[in-house]
Amino acid sequence: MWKYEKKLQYPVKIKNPNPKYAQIIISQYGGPDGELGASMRYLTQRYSMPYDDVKGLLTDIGTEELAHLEMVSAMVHQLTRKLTPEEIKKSGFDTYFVDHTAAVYPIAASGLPWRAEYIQAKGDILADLHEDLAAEQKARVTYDNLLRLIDDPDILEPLKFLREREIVHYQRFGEALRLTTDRLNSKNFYACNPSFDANCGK
Amino acid sequence: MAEKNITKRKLYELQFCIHELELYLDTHPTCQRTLELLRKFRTAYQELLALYEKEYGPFIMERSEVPAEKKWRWIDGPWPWEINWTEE
Repeated sequence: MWKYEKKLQYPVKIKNPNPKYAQIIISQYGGPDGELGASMRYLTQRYSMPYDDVKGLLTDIGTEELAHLEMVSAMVHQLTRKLTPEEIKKSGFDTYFVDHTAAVYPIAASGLPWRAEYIQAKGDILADLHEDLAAEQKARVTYDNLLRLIDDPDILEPLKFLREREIVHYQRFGEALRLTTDRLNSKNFYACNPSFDANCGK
Repeated sequence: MAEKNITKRKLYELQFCIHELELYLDTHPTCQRTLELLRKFRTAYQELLALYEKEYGPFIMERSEVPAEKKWRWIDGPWPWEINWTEE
């Protein structure tokens, strides 16, 4: 069960609207390595996780990703304020505007809508944790790329915060992987699946 | 264990009542009767919740750090989607 807190995790206050920037930042909402996928990935994987501490970690990071989703949405929303038809046409935002006006809709920068194929729940702790580690790195690269393309400090500050969180999550998932491998019996390491086989690693 | 389930069931009920009243207030923000009812249910919920969490661990992470304890109990199972069938 979830409760809503009426604040962002880190403040977003962008003075100057910029629909071109909105169109690339939205990829961290509904793109292949965006925050929507991140949250769904971790919260979905919880049910086949065999260890209580890893269930806790997936719950807590999956929850934090929802807060990141909200930050990215707030950025897109603020960047698309008070647009004139001329600005929309000139910036190239027209291809988004025609379908969604100034709403925030989960798509990639390329225009592809969010898809469940962006995430994976394999039902195997090693496969799933490696997926999570890769996902955090891919999200970090996407933030790196955004930081290269954007020069407004109002946008850079929250983006840098979000980039740092990817690194922290990568660290925590790495520790979860280490805890997991420590628990597995080295004799049958890849011969059983602790997410499924009752006595695996015990 | 039966005691735990009875208390938890009461918490489910109180929380549901609170949630219903909160949603109703979103569209009827000046309804005094509902505001009064919400105050009553919230007090009852908080009292029962305090008893439950003291015994069985916290529902939310914010309340999970109890100074007297030496361990982070937040990660302790069972997690909400897990049922121990022998207890029922």
